[in-house]
Formats: sequence, structure tokens, C-alpha cells
Amino acid sequence: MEISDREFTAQAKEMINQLSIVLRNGHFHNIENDAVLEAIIKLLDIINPYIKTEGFLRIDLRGDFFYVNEMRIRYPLEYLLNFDFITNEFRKRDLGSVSFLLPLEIKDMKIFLDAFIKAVQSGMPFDEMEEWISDITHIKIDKLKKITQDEELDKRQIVKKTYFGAVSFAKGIMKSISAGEKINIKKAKRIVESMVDALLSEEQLLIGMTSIKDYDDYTYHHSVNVSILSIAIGQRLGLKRKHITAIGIAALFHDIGKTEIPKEILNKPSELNAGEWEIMREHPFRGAISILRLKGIDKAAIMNAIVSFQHHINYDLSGYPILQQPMDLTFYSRIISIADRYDAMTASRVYKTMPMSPAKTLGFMMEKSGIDLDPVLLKFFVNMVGSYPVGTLVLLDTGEMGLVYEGNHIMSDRPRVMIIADSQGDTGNGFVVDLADRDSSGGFVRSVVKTLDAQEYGLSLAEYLL
Amino acid sequence: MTNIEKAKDLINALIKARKNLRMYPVHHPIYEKTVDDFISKMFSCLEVDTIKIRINQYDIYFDDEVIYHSKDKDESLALFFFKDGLREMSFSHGITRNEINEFLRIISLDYEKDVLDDDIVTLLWEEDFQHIKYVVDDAFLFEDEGYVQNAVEQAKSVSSRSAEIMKVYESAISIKSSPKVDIIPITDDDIQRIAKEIENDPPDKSHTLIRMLFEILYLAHKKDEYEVISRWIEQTLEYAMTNGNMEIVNYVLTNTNGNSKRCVYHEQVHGLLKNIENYINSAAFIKLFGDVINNRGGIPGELLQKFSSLLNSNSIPHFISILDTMNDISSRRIVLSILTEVGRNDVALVAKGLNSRKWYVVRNVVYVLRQIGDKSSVQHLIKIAGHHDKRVRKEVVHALGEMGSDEVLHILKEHMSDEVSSVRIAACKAAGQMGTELSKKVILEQIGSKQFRDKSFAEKKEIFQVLYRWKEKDVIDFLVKIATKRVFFKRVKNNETRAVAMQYLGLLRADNVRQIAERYKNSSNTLLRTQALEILRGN
Repeated sequence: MEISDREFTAQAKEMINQLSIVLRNGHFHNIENDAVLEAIIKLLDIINPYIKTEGFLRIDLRGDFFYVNEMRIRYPLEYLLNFDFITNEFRKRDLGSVSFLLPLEIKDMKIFLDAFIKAVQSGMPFDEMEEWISDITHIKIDKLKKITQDEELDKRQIVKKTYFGAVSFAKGIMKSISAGEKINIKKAKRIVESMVDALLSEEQLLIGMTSIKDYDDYTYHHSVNVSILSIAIGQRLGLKRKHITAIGIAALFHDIGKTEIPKEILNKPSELNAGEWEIMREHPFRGAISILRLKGIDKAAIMNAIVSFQHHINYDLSGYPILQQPMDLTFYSRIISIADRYDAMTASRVYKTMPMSPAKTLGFMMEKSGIDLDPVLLKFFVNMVGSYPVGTLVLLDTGEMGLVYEGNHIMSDRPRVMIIADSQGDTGNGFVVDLADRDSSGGFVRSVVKTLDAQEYGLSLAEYLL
Repeated sequence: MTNIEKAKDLINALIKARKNLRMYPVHHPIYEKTVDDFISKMFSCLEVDTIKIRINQYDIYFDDEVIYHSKDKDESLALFFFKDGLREMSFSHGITRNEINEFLRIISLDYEKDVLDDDIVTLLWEEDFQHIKYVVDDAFLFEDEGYVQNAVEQAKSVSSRSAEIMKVYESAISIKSSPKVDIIPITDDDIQRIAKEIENDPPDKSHTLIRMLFEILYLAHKKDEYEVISRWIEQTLEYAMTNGNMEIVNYVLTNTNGNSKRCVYHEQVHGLLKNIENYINSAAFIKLFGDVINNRGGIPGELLQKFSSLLNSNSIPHFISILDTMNDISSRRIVLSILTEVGRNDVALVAKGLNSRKWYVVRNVVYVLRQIGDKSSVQHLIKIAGHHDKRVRKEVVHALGEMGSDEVLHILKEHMSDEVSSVRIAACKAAGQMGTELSKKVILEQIGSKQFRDKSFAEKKEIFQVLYRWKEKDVIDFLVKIATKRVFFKRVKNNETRAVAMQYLGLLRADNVRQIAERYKNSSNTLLRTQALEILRGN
């Protein structure tokens, strides 16, 4: 019986979810426990008909995504916790894929589960697991593919091109608007799509680009950074591509009202006075007017204008502009407000406000949870950027000092770190280590013992992360 | 068939399909047949293989061989793909009907239209097809090639020196750690809340837009801004009205209605707000409202009530005008209830609707005046009491009965002799409703008249029923007189009258009704006998 892609995707999500439940139950109970057995039976009920039809079932973990028989499966929001769990468990064992070749029986799954659970205590989890399941001919596993340095370099080039392409476009938009020219929405969409694609494959690399703040024309970088962070939240929430693009566009235009703020105020190197702040606070509503003037009243323009208007209004409706009557903050506005707050606080170089370290910023934002910011969306955001956001300066238990280079949203306290000083304090070439790496005894090779504020010491992130 | 032949075949089918799909509406038989034919062609071409084509400015290639060529800038399929950056496309085995359908839809759109913010690549990207892949040249997105290098160089120009890093390292050993953010795990409740929010997030943001526009109107301080914002408010209103969104209309009215609301805004805005209010009360807007209730209906009562309460009397003639266009009784009722509410502000204006040439509009206006119940409308009603249409006359009589007093009794009395039975009955009932001594007298006169005997049995019953409200001695005496009245001529008709009179004596529990019934229990007239027996049985 032929099934549609949509049906298959739904089935595939169910398969991964149920496999996660089996593994989770196996962790907490004895393998012979009824809860485990019931979960296995349910899993077999889901996957065996499929194996019978297709001949095999292969589940791959590539990057942050699962593929079922080569079809990428978006993690659905309702299964988020189970998807996170199984991703984490696969990574702990260096497990890249599992293939089921024939319809399975309960005893096969029990052997697989037993091996899976025991492997985590081993220094070489994948090899041990492969050995333990070698008797079952119709379950095969493959190792998680590690990215080689060359591949990584290539990816970084693509991400860099995407990022700066977007910044260049943002600059163009702002100039066009100032000059009263039309802007190319089609192109804006394509730019955002390229960012979404980059985020899908290289989320952490692209988010890493937002942590660099050492640019002259930071206003344009800010628009792109907010767009990237908002897209990443949308992605994390499992939104459809169309909606993620819409959020990305709205975020790209959120500060468009600043084109109407006099340059001497916008770029003032000293603190703004009350009058200047008053003008500065006009940019959300000026942005809304600009957007509606550009496009008139159409669906996309309405959303973009609303986001521009609302992005400085707090969750409790305080903030600015001060409202005459209460109004609902849209879902997009609340997402973009979080991204905007985070990027602005970690970057403030103008108006003489002190920039904060990413970690401090997150801490500050958490204090404002439910007051300034949507508490649930903020939780998603914090989970996404992790305990140690990219750009955080860390001291490791090995005596080495480094900059967080890439987050790990499954094990948020185990990011990848670029070592900038060895245990003697000497500077090196800046090699990257993964804090999730384990030694032969199963313990972690390196762990963070202290976090520091890179900006406080004037360390240039661009030097290391670009 | 070789693969190259298959590819050629597919491209030809695609060109034909695109042409037809642009020409015919979606449910047209040719449209549907074209889609089906193309799907069959696609399935047969992709039975086993994947077909990959390369796209040049004017050519489409398969395996380095040109399979399509056209330089026609309007028709060339190659150019159509090429100009948005498509350079390669592949269709693979396993492609679904849905994918082909969506693909055809995308390539058949008119991308030259200004309203379309998407290009073909965007739409293909949004669909994320599993069996249609493409390669895009994104170079045009990144025109400023030097930008990357310059930006990187500029950012890196502030390099951290080794000595600084050493200094940082030394202090890092001794200083206190910055606080680490504890990750709060996402719970099932969090996920449920977000999932629910995504599901319930309305695609139409007009509610938020209109609120925002009023906020901006408050914040703005330039004349041209005021003007453009008020224009947007009108556009949003029109959009809202077209979609039957009364909440937005009411919101706007609430904010523009009256000077007290308007004075919150800058003085220069007052006139614009007044214009918006006028627009809502205008013929054009109310016509839109009429169209909506005709086509959509189903507007909640409380929203309509609020709408009515916010309108001003300028809207009255326009609501009267749309009465003529209402499709059914329920739509008409909505308009009537609004007119009743708004009409209270200016009864004279409502009464102008009595001049309509259409009898049903006049009847509706009479109904509205009757619902309003303002006595000042009596004079207007008297003027049309002799309307040529019996339905209008009947409605007028009803209205006069409810609102009038003895001074309209002569009108009612005239209508008691109307040529139409239902009007005569209505006139008697209206008089009965007035409940005065004079109106009682008029009805008794009617029943006592010679002409009454000749009325139908049904009409007689209706008119006697009017008397029932008085339950007074003179009425009972009158009924006894009627019930016992003997005549030489037209005995059958007289017996009808006597039977009804006896029935009402029974209902009024008159003392002597049993005596009268005893007299008629053996009557040869069936009606009279039956009624007498009923009374004797105590029914």
C-alpha cells in the first residue's frame, strides 16, 4: 500500500518518538519490566509494517536532524522532549544510525536495548555496542559522522557568506528607505531563506556569527542578528518554513524606524539626554509607518509593521511606546523582542550603555521573565543558546582558557571551545575542543570551572570566531 | 523510450500544462484534465528514474543535450526558471500527486504581478518537496562581494595581543566566576502552551493592526502622518467590513464617536476622525454591511447591538436604502433591528422612509417606527394609513394601536370597514389594544352593526376575542344581547354570531351563560348546539 509523504512523515515521527520512549523506559526500568515490554510492542507495531513494505528502515542522526529512510524529519513540538532525549543518547554513544532489515521480534529489541543501555558506561560506547549486537544480523548500527576540519572550514565559509550577504542587504534596505526608494521584498525573502537553510544545517555556526559585535556599522548587523536568533527560535518551536521566513523578514525590518532618527542621536557616543531618548523611542512607531508606506496594507506588511511597533513593548505591556489602550502582543513580536533584547544587551556600544556578557545577559533576561519577556518563549531561547552562549570566555579544569565556539543544545553545559591560552597561559593557534568528549574511562576530558566576561577584558571575538 | 525522449516529453507536457493552467480557472474541466494528464505523464516518465534538467538563459538541457530552446521573453520556460536563479531541477521516482499539483500551481502563477511578494524559488523552497530538487544560483543575493572581506578585516583589526591574553589568563585564575545561567528544562506544559498558541494564532492580524493605528495616530505629530494613518484606518475598516469583522468596526467607532473620544488626539486629527465616523455612517460603508449580512450572515447579536448603539442618525437613510437589497428575512431583521436602535435618535428621518415606492420598504419602516414606539411618529403613520397595499395598511393599523390614543380611533374605525378582512381584524385588535372606553365603544358598535352579521365566522371570532380584554358588565350584557338576538332573515349567519357570543360569555364565566346554553342545546343549528353543549359540559 502506497502512503503519501505526509503520512510517512507522520509515521516516521511516531517511530522516532516511540524508539525514544523505549530507550527512556529502558533507562529507568529493568528490561523485563512491563513498561519496557509494552513500549517495545508498540514500537514493533509501528515499524514492522513499514519494514515489510519497504524492506528496511534506517534512522540516521545528521547534525540536529533525524532522517528516516533518507527523508528528513522535522522534530515536532509535541515530541520535542523525546526527540531531544534520543538525540542526546545517540550522541553519547557516537551512534549515527540504526538500520532494521527484517521485521523485528521482541527478543531482538531487548538485545539492542540492553546493548544500548550498557554502552553508555563504556569508554568506547559505539564499538562495544556494535560488538554486543553482532549476533542480531538484521539490526545494524553506524558511527556518528564527525565533521572533518576541511568540511568545517567549508561550512564556515558558506555561513560567513550567508551572514555578510544578509548584512549587506540590510544596509541596502536601510539606505533605500532613507532615500524613499522601493525595497525588494522578493530578495529579502531569498536572503532570509538562505539564513534558514544555514540554520537548518549549521545552527550553531550561524548563531555564533551573531556573537561578534566588533563592527562599525553595527545597526545593520543587529537587524541580521535579530533575524537569525528569531529564525532559530522559530525553528526550535517547529514552525513551518513559511512562518519562519515571515519571522525572519519581520525581524530584519524591526528597526527600520531608526532610519528616521537623526544620525547624531543614533550614533551618539555619549549618554542620550531625556529629549534624545524621547526621539529615540519614536523608532518603533516610525518603523511601522515606514513599512506600511512602503507596501500599503497587505498581510506581510501588517505583520512587519506590528512587530516594528511592538518590539520594545514588554510582556506586561510596559516599555515603549506607552499604550493608550491595552493590545495583544503578537507571537512574532514576543519572539523578536527576546532576540532583540539579547543582541542589543550583548552589543550596546552606543549611548554609552555597557555591553554585557552573553551569560550575564541571559541571567538578566531570566530575571525579567514574565515581566518584560514571555516566560515560555524565553525558556526556549535560553535552552537554545545554552548555559554558555557562543563568545563566553571560559576557564577549563585542565587550566586552559578558551572561548565558547559552538553551543550544544542537547548538553548545554558541554559546548565546543576554542582554546586561546594553554595551561601555562601561553597563546596558541586556537584549536577547538569538544567538552562532550570523553576519555577511555568514560569521564569528560574537559569541563568548565569558571566563566568570564570576554568583553570586559577587551578580547576580540572576531579574531577567533570569524 | 530513452531518458532523453522522456525528458523532452516531460518538458513539452509542462509547457502545455502551464499554458492551460494560466488560461482556465481552477475548477474548469480543462484545468482539471490538464493536471491529470500531466500527473500521468510525470508518473510514466519517472517509473524508475530520476530526470534531471539543467537550465540556461534560453535553453533547457538533459545530459548536455538541448531539449528546449526559446528566446521569447514572455513565453520561454527556460528564461522563466533562469531569471529567478534556478539552474538545475530534478524530479525523482516516488513523486506524489500532491507534489506535482503544488509544483504546477507554483509555475503557473503570474510573477509579474506587483501583489506577489514571492518568486518561484521562494515558493519551491517553502514547499520543501521531497522529490523535486533544485539548484539555485544565489550570486545576485550577494552582489557586494567585497563586503564580506572588508567587514571581516575591519572586525579583526582590533586584535587581542598576546600580552593582553596573558593578563586575562592571570586574572582569570584569581577572579570570581561570572554566574552561569541554569537551564530550566522545557516542560510538557510549556510545549502545550506554545503548540496551542501556534494553532490559535490568527492569520488575520487586523485586530492588532487597528489598535496599533490608533496608537500611532496618538503618537504621530506630522500632518502627512495623520492623513496617511487615517487612510489606513479607513482601508482596514473596509477590509474588516468586507470580512464581516464587526469587532474592528465597533472598535473604530468607539474611538471616533463623538468629541469626547476625539479630543484625546491632537487637534489636527479631530477632523480626520470625524471623517472616519462619517465614512462608517455613509452609504458606501452601509452598502458593504448589507452585502456582508446578505452573503455571510452569522454576526453575533451583541456585536450588532454595539454597532447600532455607536452609529449616528446619518446612517438612517442608508439603512433604509439597503432594506430593498436584503436577500432573506433574517438579513432584513438585522437591518430592522439596527434601524430601530439608530432611529431612536431621529424618528422624523426614519419616517422619511415611508415615502418609498416599494410597499415592503414602507411596511418595514412602519415596523421600525412601531418598535421605536415614539408617539411623534403617529402623525407620519396617519398620512400613509390609506396606503394602496393591504400589508402596509395592516402594519400601520398595528402601529397605531400600539402608539396611538383616541385621536387615531377614527382611522382605525375606517379600517374596520376595509375591503380586506385581515386589515379589518387588525384594526379591531389595534383598537382593543388601546383599551380605552372609546375604543370599546367603537368595537361594540362594529359587532352590533348590521354588516357584522355577514362577516366570516373566523373574522367574527377574532373580533369577539378583542372584547375579551374588558370583562366588564356592559360587555357581558352586550354579549347576552347578541347571543339571544333573533332575526327573521339570514338566520344561519346570525346563529354564527350568537355561537361566538355564547363562547365568549363562557370564557368570561358570565352568570347567565348556562341558562342561554340550555336554551340552545337542542337547536337545529349545529354550531349553536355544539357551542351550547360545550358550555354545559363545562369546557
